[in-house]
Amino acid sequence: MKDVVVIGGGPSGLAVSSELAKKEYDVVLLERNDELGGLLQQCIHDGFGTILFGESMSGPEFADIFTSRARDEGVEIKLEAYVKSVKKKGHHFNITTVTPGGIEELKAKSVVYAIGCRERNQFEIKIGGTRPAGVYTAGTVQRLVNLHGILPGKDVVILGGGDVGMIVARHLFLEGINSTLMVYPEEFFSGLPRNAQQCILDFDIPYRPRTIVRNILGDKKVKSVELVEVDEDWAPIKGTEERYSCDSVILSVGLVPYSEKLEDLGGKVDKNTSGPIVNEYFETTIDGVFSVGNLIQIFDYVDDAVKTSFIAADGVEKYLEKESEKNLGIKLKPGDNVMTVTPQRVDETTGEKFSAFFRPDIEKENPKIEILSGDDVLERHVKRYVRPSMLEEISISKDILSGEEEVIIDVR
Amino acid sequence: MSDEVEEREALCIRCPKGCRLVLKIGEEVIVEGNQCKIGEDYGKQEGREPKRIVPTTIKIKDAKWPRLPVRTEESISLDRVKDVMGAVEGVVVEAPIEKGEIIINNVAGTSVSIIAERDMEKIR
Repeated sequence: MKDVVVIGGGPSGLAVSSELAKKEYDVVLLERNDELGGLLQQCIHDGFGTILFGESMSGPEFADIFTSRARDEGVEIKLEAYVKSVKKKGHHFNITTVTPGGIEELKAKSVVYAIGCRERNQFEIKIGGTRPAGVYTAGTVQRLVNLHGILPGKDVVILGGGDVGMIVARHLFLEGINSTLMVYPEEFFSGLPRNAQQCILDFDIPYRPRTIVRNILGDKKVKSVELVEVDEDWAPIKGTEERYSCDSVILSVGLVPYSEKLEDLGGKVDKNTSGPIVNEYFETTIDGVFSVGNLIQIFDYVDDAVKTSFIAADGVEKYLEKESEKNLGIKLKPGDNVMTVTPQRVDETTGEKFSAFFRPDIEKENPKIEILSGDDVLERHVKRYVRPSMLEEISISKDILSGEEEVIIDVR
Repeated sequence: MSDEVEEREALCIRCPKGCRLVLKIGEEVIVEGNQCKIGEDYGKQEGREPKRIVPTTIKIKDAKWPRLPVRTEESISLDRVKDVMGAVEGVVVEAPIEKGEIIINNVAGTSVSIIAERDMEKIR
Protein backbone atom coordinates (compact mmCIF):
# COMPACT_ATOMS: atom_id res chain seq x y z
CA MET A 1 0.00 0.00 0.00
CA LYS A 2 1.42 3.35 -1.11
CA ASP A 3 0.80 6.48 0.92
CA VAL A 4 0.07 8.67 -2.10
CA VAL A 5 -0.40 8.20 -5.83
CA VAL A 6 0.06 11.40 -7.85
CA ILE A 7 -1.48 11.37 -11.33
CA GLY A 8 0.28 13.67 -13.82
CA GLY A 9 3.99 14.51 -14.18
CA GLY A 10 3.73 18.18 -15.12
CA PRO A 11 5.10 20.95 -12.88
CA SER A 12 2.31 20.70 -10.28
CA GLY A 13 2.45 16.88 -10.07
CA LEU A 14 6.24 16.95 -9.78
CA ALA A 15 6.09 19.61 -7.06
CA VAL A 16 3.47 17.86 -4.93
CA SER A 17 5.20 14.47 -5.19
CA SER A 18 8.59 15.95 -4.21
CA GLU A 19 7.08 17.77 -1.23
CA LEU A 20 5.39 14.57 -0.04
CA ALA A 21 8.52 12.47 -0.55
CA LYS A 22 10.41 15.08 1.47
CA LYS A 23 7.89 14.49 4.28
CA GLU A 24 8.99 10.81 3.98
CA TYR A 25 5.81 9.41 2.51
CA ASP A 26 5.90 6.58 -0.01
CA VAL A 27 4.92 8.40 -3.23
CA VAL A 28 4.31 7.09 -6.75
CA LEU A 29 4.07 9.53 -9.65
CA LEU A 30 2.21 8.31 -12.74
CA GLU A 31 2.79 10.03 -16.10
CA ARG A 32 1.13 8.89 -19.31
CA ASN A 33 3.79 10.49 -21.54
CA ASP A 34 7.34 9.15 -21.87
CA GLU A 35 8.93 12.24 -20.33
CA LEU A 36 8.23 14.52 -17.38
CA GLY A 37 7.52 18.26 -17.40
CA GLY A 38 4.13 18.23 -19.08
CA LEU A 39 3.13 21.30 -21.01
CA LEU A 40 6.34 23.14 -20.06
CA GLN A 41 8.47 21.10 -22.47
CA GLN A 42 6.80 22.95 -25.35
CA CYS A 43 6.84 26.39 -23.68
CA ILE A 44 10.32 27.40 -24.80
CA HIS A 45 9.80 31.13 -24.19
CA ASP A 46 11.01 32.82 -21.01
CA GLY A 47 8.98 34.33 -18.18
CA PHE A 48 8.60 31.32 -15.88
CA GLY A 49 9.82 31.38 -12.29
CA THR A 50 9.65 35.11 -11.60
CA ILE A 51 7.43 34.62 -8.51
CA LEU A 52 9.05 31.49 -7.01
CA PHE A 53 12.69 32.02 -7.94
CA GLY A 54 12.97 35.73 -8.78
CA GLU A 55 14.39 35.00 -12.22
CA SER A 56 12.89 34.56 -15.64
CA MET A 57 13.51 31.14 -17.19
CA SER A 58 12.12 29.03 -20.02
CA GLY A 59 9.53 26.26 -19.58
CA PRO A 60 11.99 23.35 -19.91
CA GLU A 61 14.37 25.07 -17.46
CA PHE A 62 11.57 25.56 -14.91
CA ALA A 63 10.40 21.94 -15.37
CA ASP A 64 13.95 20.66 -14.87
CA ILE A 65 14.09 22.15 -11.36
CA PHE A 66 11.06 20.12 -10.28
CA THR A 67 12.04 16.98 -12.20
CA SER A 68 15.40 17.02 -10.38
CA ARG A 69 13.67 17.61 -7.04
CA ALA A 70 11.34 14.64 -7.57
CA ARG A 71 14.30 12.39 -8.45
CA ASP A 72 16.42 13.69 -5.53
CA GLU A 73 13.61 13.19 -3.02
CA GLY A 74 13.15 9.58 -4.15
CA VAL A 75 9.72 9.77 -5.76
CA GLU A 76 8.92 6.50 -7.55
CA ILE A 77 8.29 7.67 -11.12
CA LYS A 78 6.38 5.57 -13.64
CA LEU A 79 6.42 6.87 -17.21
CA GLU A 80 4.05 5.73 -19.97
CA ALA A 81 1.55 4.81 -17.27
CA TYR A 82 -1.99 5.75 -18.29
CA VAL A 83 -4.50 5.71 -15.46
CA LYS A 84 -7.53 3.78 -16.63
CA SER A 85 -9.53 3.97 -13.43
CA VAL A 86 -9.44 5.01 -9.79
CA LYS A 87 -11.87 3.31 -7.41
CA LYS A 88 -12.48 3.99 -3.75
CA LYS A 89 -12.53 0.89 -1.53
CA GLY A 90 -13.31 1.82 2.05
CA HIS A 91 -10.38 3.93 3.23
CA HIS A 92 -8.07 3.28 0.29
CA PHE A 93 -7.99 3.57 -3.48
CA ASN A 94 -7.42 1.00 -6.23
CA ILE A 95 -5.67 2.52 -9.23
CA THR A 96 -5.55 0.63 -12.53
CA THR A 97 -2.89 1.72 -15.01
CA VAL A 98 -2.11 0.68 -18.55
CA THR A 99 1.64 0.52 -19.24
CA PRO A 100 3.83 -0.91 -22.02
CA GLY A 101 4.34 -3.91 -19.70
CA GLY A 102 0.61 -4.52 -19.37
CA ILE A 103 -2.04 -3.63 -16.81
CA GLU A 104 -0.76 -2.75 -13.35
CA GLU A 105 -2.76 -2.31 -10.17
CA LEU A 106 -1.77 -0.01 -7.33
CA LYS A 107 -3.23 0.56 -3.89
CA ALA A 108 -2.89 3.90 -2.13
CA LYS A 109 -4.18 5.69 0.96
CA SER A 110 -4.65 8.97 -0.94
CA VAL A 111 -4.64 10.26 -4.52
CA VAL A 112 -3.56 13.63 -5.94
CA TYR A 113 -4.88 14.58 -9.37
CA ALA A 114 -2.46 16.82 -11.27
CA ILE A 115 -3.88 16.32 -14.74
CA GLY A 116 -4.08 19.97 -15.76
CA CYS A 117 -6.34 21.38 -18.41
CA ARG A 118 -7.24 21.01 -22.07
CA GLU A 119 -7.75 23.54 -24.85
CA ARG A 120 -11.21 24.56 -25.99
CA ASN A 121 -11.77 23.44 -29.57
CA GLN A 122 -13.63 24.64 -32.68
CA PHE A 123 -16.75 22.67 -31.81
CA GLU A 124 -17.15 24.54 -28.53
CA ILE A 125 -17.16 28.01 -30.09
CA LYS A 126 -19.57 27.52 -32.97
CA ILE A 127 -17.51 28.29 -36.06
CA GLY A 128 -19.35 27.54 -39.27
CA GLY A 129 -18.22 26.52 -42.73
CA THR A 130 -16.78 23.30 -44.12
CA ARG A 131 -14.51 20.92 -42.19
CA PRO A 132 -11.16 21.17 -43.99
CA ALA A 133 -7.74 20.10 -42.67
CA GLY A 134 -5.56 22.89 -41.32
CA VAL A 135 -7.46 23.88 -38.18
CA TYR A 136 -5.36 23.62 -35.02
CA THR A 137 -5.48 24.61 -31.39
CA ALA A 138 -2.64 26.94 -30.33
CA GLY A 139 -1.12 24.36 -27.98
CA THR A 140 -0.97 21.77 -30.75
CA VAL A 141 0.87 24.24 -32.98
CA GLN A 142 3.28 25.06 -30.15
CA ARG A 143 4.04 21.36 -29.80
CA LEU A 144 4.42 20.83 -33.56
CA VAL A 145 6.76 23.80 -33.97
CA ASN A 146 8.86 23.49 -30.81
CA LEU A 147 9.25 19.73 -30.47
CA HIS A 148 8.75 18.38 -33.98
CA GLY A 149 9.96 21.35 -36.04
CA ILE A 150 6.82 21.34 -38.20
CA LEU A 151 5.10 24.60 -39.20
CA PRO A 152 1.30 24.46 -39.55
CA GLY A 153 1.19 26.45 -42.78
CA LYS A 154 2.42 29.58 -44.53
CA ASP A 155 -0.50 31.96 -44.15
CA VAL A 156 -2.03 31.74 -40.74
CA VAL A 157 -5.09 33.27 -39.06
CA ILE A 158 -5.13 33.08 -35.27
CA LEU A 159 -8.50 33.40 -33.56
CA GLY A 160 -8.33 34.61 -29.96
CA GLY A 161 -6.11 37.17 -28.24
CA GLY A 162 -5.05 34.94 -25.36
CA ASP A 163 -1.52 34.27 -24.14
CA VAL A 164 -0.91 31.00 -25.98
CA GLY A 165 -2.11 32.53 -29.26
CA MET A 166 0.18 35.55 -28.87
CA ILE A 167 3.20 33.40 -28.00
CA VAL A 168 2.54 31.12 -30.97
CA ALA A 169 2.15 34.16 -33.26
CA ARG A 170 5.64 35.33 -32.27
CA HIS A 171 7.17 31.89 -32.83
CA LEU A 172 5.60 31.59 -36.27
CA PHE A 173 6.68 35.10 -37.20
CA LEU A 174 10.26 34.44 -36.09
CA GLU A 175 10.26 31.12 -37.95
CA GLY A 176 9.58 33.18 -41.05
CA ILE A 177 6.12 32.17 -42.21
CA ASN A 178 4.54 34.27 -44.95
CA SER A 179 1.71 36.02 -43.11
CA THR A 180 0.02 36.05 -39.73
CA LEU A 181 -3.20 37.78 -38.71
CA MET A 182 -4.63 37.69 -35.22
CA VAL A 183 -8.32 38.43 -34.66
CA TYR A 184 -10.28 38.50 -31.42
CA PRO A 185 -13.72 39.75 -30.26
CA GLU A 186 -12.52 41.81 -27.29
CA GLU A 187 -11.42 45.43 -27.57
CA PHE A 188 -7.92 44.55 -26.42
CA PHE A 189 -5.89 41.33 -26.22
CA SER A 190 -7.37 39.13 -23.49
CA GLY A 191 -3.94 37.81 -22.43
CA LEU A 192 -1.32 39.51 -20.30
CA PRO A 193 -0.19 42.98 -21.44
CA ARG A 194 3.44 41.86 -21.31
CA ASN A 195 2.70 39.24 -23.97
CA ALA A 196 0.84 41.76 -26.12
CA GLN A 197 3.97 43.91 -26.02
CA GLN A 198 6.71 41.35 -26.46
CA CYS A 199 4.90 38.99 -28.85
CA ILE A 200 2.66 41.14 -31.05
CA LEU A 201 3.58 44.84 -30.83
CA ASP A 202 7.36 44.18 -30.86
CA PHE A 203 7.14 42.64 -34.32
CA ASP A 204 4.22 44.60 -35.79
CA ILE A 205 2.21 41.41 -36.23
CA PRO A 206 -1.17 42.48 -37.68
CA TYR A 207 -4.19 42.15 -35.38
CA ARG A 208 -7.83 43.12 -35.52
CA PRO A 209 -9.84 43.64 -32.32
CA ARG A 210 -13.63 43.18 -32.36
CA THR A 211 -13.32 40.67 -35.19
CA ILE A 212 -14.08 36.95 -35.29
CA VAL A 213 -13.78 34.05 -37.71
CA ARG A 214 -17.37 33.18 -38.61
CA ASN A 215 -16.70 30.51 -41.21
CA ILE A 216 -13.74 28.35 -42.15
CA LEU A 217 -13.78 27.50 -45.85
CA GLY A 218 -12.03 24.99 -48.12
CA ASP A 219 -12.59 21.54 -49.59
CA LYS A 220 -9.79 19.36 -48.29
CA LYS A 221 -7.47 22.03 -46.92
CA VAL A 222 -8.27 25.47 -45.48
CA LYS A 223 -8.45 28.03 -48.33
CA SER A 224 -9.92 31.03 -46.57
CA VAL A 225 -11.93 32.27 -43.62
CA GLU A 226 -14.87 34.61 -43.43
CA LEU A 227 -14.04 37.38 -40.99
CA VAL A 228 -16.72 39.59 -39.51
CA GLU A 229 -16.56 42.55 -37.16
CA VAL A 230 -18.49 42.33 -33.90
CA ASP A 231 -20.02 44.86 -31.53
CA GLU A 232 -19.45 45.16 -27.78
CA ASP A 233 -21.70 42.16 -27.16
CA TRP A 234 -19.71 40.14 -29.71
CA ALA A 235 -22.70 40.19 -32.12
CA PRO A 236 -21.62 40.23 -35.82
CA ILE A 237 -22.12 43.57 -37.61
CA LYS A 238 -23.88 43.12 -40.96
CA GLY A 239 -22.01 44.31 -44.02
CA THR A 240 -18.54 43.86 -42.47
CA GLU A 241 -18.04 40.30 -43.77
CA GLU A 242 -14.70 39.77 -45.50
CA ARG A 243 -13.19 36.77 -47.28
CA TYR A 244 -9.56 36.39 -46.16
CA SER A 245 -7.18 33.88 -47.79
CA CYS A 246 -5.12 31.59 -45.54
CA ASP A 247 -4.01 27.98 -45.34
CA SER A 248 -4.41 27.39 -41.62
CA VAL A 249 -6.48 28.56 -38.68
CA ILE A 250 -5.17 28.47 -35.13
CA LEU A 251 -7.61 28.66 -32.23
CA SER A 252 -6.49 30.25 -28.99
CA VAL A 253 -9.87 30.32 -27.31
CA GLY A 254 -9.24 29.32 -23.74
CA LEU A 255 -8.33 26.44 -21.48
CA VAL A 256 -10.63 24.24 -19.40
CA PRO A 257 -9.66 22.19 -16.32
CA TYR A 258 -9.70 18.51 -17.18
CA SER A 259 -12.08 17.50 -14.41
CA GLU A 260 -14.04 14.69 -16.12
CA LYS A 261 -11.87 12.01 -14.50
CA LEU A 262 -12.60 13.35 -11.03
CA GLU A 263 -16.30 13.50 -11.81
CA ASP A 264 -16.16 9.79 -12.71
CA LEU A 265 -14.94 9.16 -9.17
CA GLY A 266 -17.80 11.24 -7.75
CA GLY A 267 -16.03 14.57 -7.26
CA LYS A 268 -18.19 17.69 -7.52
CA VAL A 269 -17.30 20.45 -10.01
CA ASP A 270 -17.67 24.24 -9.70
CA LYS A 271 -19.47 25.63 -12.77
CA ASN A 272 -17.54 28.92 -12.50
CA THR A 273 -14.04 27.43 -12.61
CA SER A 274 -14.96 24.12 -14.35
CA GLY A 275 -12.53 22.59 -11.84
CA PRO A 276 -13.33 20.45 -8.81
CA ILE A 277 -14.77 22.00 -5.65
CA VAL A 278 -11.88 22.08 -3.18
CA ASN A 279 -11.13 23.22 0.34
CA GLU A 280 -8.17 25.42 1.31
CA TYR A 281 -5.84 22.37 1.13
CA PHE A 282 -7.18 21.58 -2.34
CA GLU A 283 -8.89 18.44 -1.11
CA THR A 284 -11.86 17.63 -3.35
CA THR A 285 -15.32 16.63 -2.13
CA ILE A 286 -14.02 13.03 -1.94
CA ASP A 287 -12.09 12.18 1.26
CA GLY A 288 -8.41 11.65 0.55
CA VAL A 289 -8.55 12.91 -3.05
CA PHE A 290 -6.72 16.16 -3.78
CA SER A 291 -6.20 18.25 -6.90
CA VAL A 292 -3.39 20.66 -7.79
CA GLY A 293 -2.36 23.09 -10.53
CA ASN A 294 -4.41 23.96 -13.59
CA LEU A 295 -6.94 21.26 -12.79
CA ILE A 296 -8.27 23.52 -10.01
CA GLN A 297 -8.60 26.55 -12.28
CA ILE A 298 -6.54 28.13 -15.04
CA PHE A 299 -3.60 29.97 -13.46
CA ASP A 300 -1.86 32.81 -15.31
CA TYR A 301 1.55 31.82 -14.00
CA VAL A 302 3.00 28.34 -13.55
CA ASP A 303 4.50 29.68 -10.31
CA ASP A 304 0.99 30.12 -8.87
CA ALA A 305 -0.11 26.70 -10.11
CA VAL A 306 2.88 25.11 -8.37
CA LYS A 307 2.12 26.97 -5.13
CA THR A 308 -1.11 24.93 -4.88
CA SER A 309 1.10 21.81 -4.78
CA PHE A 310 2.96 23.05 -1.69
CA ILE A 311 -0.35 23.73 0.07
CA ALA A 312 -1.90 20.42 -1.05
CA ALA A 313 1.15 18.51 0.25
CA ASP A 314 0.34 19.86 3.73
CA GLY A 315 -3.27 18.82 3.22
CA VAL A 316 -2.29 15.27 2.26
CA GLU A 317 -0.08 15.12 5.36
CA LYS A 318 -2.99 16.20 7.56
CA TYR A 319 -5.21 13.60 5.92
CA LEU A 320 -2.70 10.79 6.33
CA GLU A 321 -1.97 11.75 9.93
CA LYS A 322 -5.71 12.02 10.56
CA GLU A 323 -5.01 15.32 12.27
CA SER A 324 -8.29 16.73 11.15
CA GLU A 325 -11.59 15.10 10.45
CA LYS A 326 -13.03 16.17 7.13
CA ASN A 327 -14.90 19.39 7.63
CA LEU A 328 -16.33 20.93 4.50
CA GLY A 329 -16.95 24.02 6.58
CA ILE A 330 -17.76 27.40 5.20
CA LYS A 331 -18.72 28.08 1.58
CA LEU A 332 -16.73 30.70 -0.32
CA LYS A 333 -18.46 32.22 -3.36
CA PRO A 334 -17.85 34.86 -6.06
CA GLY A 335 -19.89 38.06 -5.54
CA ASP A 336 -20.04 41.37 -7.42
CA ASN A 337 -17.48 41.78 -10.19
CA VAL A 338 -15.87 38.39 -9.49
CA MET A 339 -15.92 35.46 -11.92
CA THR A 340 -14.36 32.66 -9.88
CA VAL A 341 -13.18 31.93 -6.34
CA THR A 342 -11.08 29.05 -5.02
CA PRO A 343 -11.14 27.33 -2.61
CA GLN A 344 -14.90 26.88 -2.59
CA ARG A 345 -14.88 25.42 0.96
CA VAL A 346 -12.88 26.39 4.04
CA ASP A 347 -12.48 24.59 7.36
CA GLU A 348 -12.14 27.45 9.83
CA THR A 349 -11.22 25.17 12.73
CA THR A 350 -7.62 24.36 11.69
CA GLY A 351 -4.80 26.77 10.89
CA GLU A 352 -4.74 30.56 10.99
CA LYS A 353 -4.76 31.78 7.42
CA PHE A 354 -5.35 30.52 3.92
CA SER A 355 -4.85 31.76 0.36
CA ALA A 356 -7.89 32.52 -1.76
CA PHE A 357 -7.63 33.05 -5.51
CA PHE A 358 -10.22 35.04 -7.43
CA ARG A 359 -10.59 36.25 -11.00
CA PRO A 360 -12.10 39.76 -11.28
CA ASP A 361 -14.75 40.51 -13.87
CA ILE A 362 -13.77 44.18 -14.30
CA GLU A 363 -10.68 46.28 -14.86
CA LYS A 364 -10.22 48.72 -11.97
CA GLU A 365 -7.59 50.86 -10.29
CA ASN A 366 -7.26 50.71 -6.48
CA PRO A 367 -10.29 48.48 -5.99
CA LYS A 368 -11.53 47.32 -2.60
CA ILE A 369 -11.70 43.57 -2.16
CA GLU A 370 -14.40 42.80 0.40
CA ILE A 371 -15.00 39.55 2.26
CA LEU A 372 -18.72 39.65 3.04
CA SER A 373 -21.24 37.74 5.09
CA GLY A 374 -24.57 39.01 3.78
CA ASP A 375 -24.08 42.78 3.88
CA ASP A 376 -21.49 42.69 6.69
CA VAL A 377 -17.92 43.35 5.63
CA LEU A 378 -15.72 40.86 7.51
CA GLU A 379 -12.41 41.98 6.02
CA ARG A 380 -11.27 44.46 3.41
CA HIS A 381 -8.20 44.10 1.17
CA VAL A 382 -6.68 46.63 -1.19
CA LYS A 383 -5.15 45.86 -4.58
CA ARG A 384 -3.36 48.32 -6.79
CA TYR A 385 -5.01 47.24 -10.00
CA VAL A 386 -7.20 44.35 -11.13
CA ARG A 387 -8.15 43.11 -14.58
CA PRO A 388 -9.86 39.94 -15.84
CA SER A 389 -6.64 38.62 -17.38
CA MET A 390 -4.99 38.48 -13.94
CA LEU A 391 -5.89 35.95 -11.27
CA GLU A 392 -5.59 37.60 -7.84
CA GLU A 393 -4.50 36.05 -4.55
CA ILE A 394 -5.41 37.25 -1.06
CA SER A 395 -4.55 35.87 2.34
CA ILE A 396 -7.62 35.56 4.59
CA SER A 397 -7.46 35.04 8.36
CA LYS A 398 -9.66 32.18 9.50
CA ASP A 399 -10.81 33.80 12.73
CA ILE A 400 -13.02 36.25 10.82
CA LEU A 401 -14.92 33.28 9.38
CA SER A 402 -16.00 31.60 12.59
CA GLY A 403 -19.75 31.20 12.89
CA GLU A 404 -20.38 31.94 9.21
CA GLU A 405 -22.01 29.56 6.73
CA GLU A 406 -21.37 31.33 3.46
CA VAL A 407 -18.89 34.08 2.65
CA ILE A 408 -18.71 36.14 -0.54
CA ILE A 409 -15.82 37.96 -2.22
CA ASP A 410 -16.69 41.26 -3.94
CA VAL A 411 -14.59 43.69 -5.95
CA ARG A 412 -15.70 47.32 -5.61
CA MET B 1 19.69 68.38 -34.64
CA SER B 2 18.70 67.22 -31.18
CA ASP B 3 15.34 68.92 -31.48
CA GLU B 4 13.88 65.93 -33.24
CA VAL B 5 11.70 63.95 -30.87
CA GLU B 6 10.31 60.60 -31.90
CA GLU B 7 7.14 59.69 -30.09
CA ARG B 8 5.94 56.14 -29.68
CA GLU B 9 3.80 54.01 -27.42
CA ALA B 10 4.91 51.06 -25.32
CA LEU B 11 3.24 48.73 -22.85
CA CYS B 12 5.11 48.48 -19.58
CA ILE B 13 5.79 44.77 -18.95
CA ARG B 14 7.24 45.15 -15.46
CA CYS B 15 4.06 44.48 -13.47
CA PRO B 16 0.52 43.19 -14.08
CA LYS B 17 -0.87 46.69 -14.28
CA GLY B 18 0.51 47.03 -17.81
CA CYS B 19 0.61 50.84 -18.08
CA ARG B 20 0.42 52.23 -21.61
CA LEU B 21 3.48 54.42 -21.88
CA VAL B 22 4.20 57.26 -24.27
CA LEU B 23 7.93 57.56 -24.97
CA LYS B 24 9.32 60.85 -26.27
CA ILE B 25 12.70 59.94 -27.60
CA GLY B 26 15.11 62.78 -28.22
CA GLU B 27 18.45 63.45 -26.60
CA GLU B 28 16.76 62.15 -23.48
CA VAL B 29 13.89 59.74 -23.18
CA ILE B 30 10.82 61.26 -21.54
CA VAL B 31 8.32 58.73 -20.24
CA GLU B 32 4.64 59.56 -19.82
CA GLY B 33 1.73 57.37 -18.74
CA ASN B 34 3.80 55.49 -16.16
CA GLN B 35 2.61 55.44 -12.57
CA CYS B 36 5.82 54.51 -10.80
CA LYS B 37 9.60 54.75 -10.92
CA ILE B 38 9.95 51.19 -12.24
CA GLY B 39 7.80 52.17 -15.21
CA GLU B 40 9.98 55.21 -15.84
CA ASP B 41 13.15 53.09 -15.85
CA TYR B 42 11.54 50.52 -18.10
CA GLY B 43 10.37 53.25 -20.48
CA LYS B 44 13.84 54.80 -20.65
CA GLN B 45 15.49 51.46 -21.49
CA GLU B 46 12.68 50.73 -23.92
CA GLY B 47 13.16 54.13 -25.58
CA ARG B 48 16.93 53.86 -25.84
CA GLU B 49 17.32 50.20 -26.63
CA PRO B 50 14.51 47.67 -26.11
CA LYS B 51 15.97 44.30 -25.12
CA ARG B 52 14.51 40.81 -25.24
CA ILE B 53 15.41 37.16 -24.66
CA VAL B 54 15.11 35.23 -27.95
CA PRO B 55 13.82 31.66 -27.67
CA THR B 56 13.82 29.32 -30.66
CA THR B 57 14.66 25.75 -31.65
CA ILE B 58 17.46 24.14 -33.68
CA LYS B 59 17.80 20.78 -35.37
CA ILE B 60 19.24 17.97 -33.23
CA LYS B 61 20.32 14.49 -34.38
CA ASP B 62 20.01 11.18 -32.50
CA ALA B 63 17.68 12.65 -29.88
CA LYS B 64 14.17 11.95 -28.62
CA TRP B 65 12.82 14.99 -30.46
CA PRO B 66 13.99 16.44 -33.80
CA ARG B 67 14.29 19.95 -32.27
CA LEU B 68 16.28 21.28 -29.32
CA PRO B 69 14.90 24.38 -27.56
CA VAL B 70 17.56 27.11 -27.23
CA ARG B 71 17.63 30.76 -26.20
CA THR B 72 19.93 33.73 -25.88
CA GLU B 73 21.63 33.56 -22.48
CA GLU B 74 21.00 37.29 -21.89
CA SER B 75 18.53 39.67 -23.44
CA ILE B 76 19.64 41.25 -26.69
CA SER B 77 18.66 44.36 -28.56
CA LEU B 78 15.20 43.95 -30.11
CA ASP B 79 16.41 45.11 -33.52
CA ARG B 80 18.97 42.28 -33.59
CA VAL B 81 16.35 39.53 -33.11
CA LYS B 82 16.07 38.82 -36.84
CA ASP B 83 19.88 38.60 -37.16
CA VAL B 84 20.01 36.12 -34.30
CA MET B 85 17.25 34.03 -35.87
CA GLY B 86 19.23 34.09 -39.14
CA ALA B 87 22.43 32.98 -37.42
CA VAL B 88 20.67 30.11 -35.67
CA GLU B 89 18.91 28.85 -38.79
CA GLY B 90 20.51 25.77 -40.27
CA VAL B 91 22.58 24.98 -37.17
CA VAL B 92 22.53 21.24 -36.43
CA VAL B 93 23.77 19.61 -33.21
CA GLU B 94 24.09 16.00 -32.12
CA ALA B 95 22.78 14.50 -28.88
CA PRO B 96 23.71 14.26 -26.08
CA ILE B 97 23.28 17.90 -25.10
CA GLU B 98 23.18 19.25 -21.56
CA LYS B 99 20.96 22.02 -20.28
CA GLY B 100 22.87 25.32 -20.28
CA GLU B 101 25.43 24.09 -22.83
CA ILE B 102 26.64 26.85 -25.16
CA ILE B 103 25.50 26.11 -28.70
CA ILE B 104 26.74 29.31 -30.42
CA ASN B 105 29.22 31.79 -28.96
CA ASN B 106 28.74 35.49 -29.61
CA VAL B 107 25.71 34.94 -31.81
CA ALA B 108 25.48 37.40 -34.74
CA GLY B 109 28.11 39.57 -33.09
CA THR B 110 25.89 40.43 -30.13
CA SER B 111 28.48 39.10 -27.61
CA VAL B 112 25.66 36.94 -26.19
CA SER B 113 25.62 33.13 -26.43
CA ILE B 114 22.88 30.77 -27.51
CA ILE B 115 22.36 28.08 -24.85
CA ALA B 116 20.40 24.81 -24.67
CA GLU B 117 17.22 24.99 -22.57
CA ARG B 118 17.15 21.29 -21.65
CA ASP B 119 19.05 18.02 -21.56
CA MET B 120 18.65 15.87 -24.62
CA GLU B 121 19.85 12.29 -24.31
CA LYS B 122 21.38 10.32 -27.14
CA ILE B 123 18.93 7.80 -28.58
CA ARG B 124 19.97 5.10 -31.01
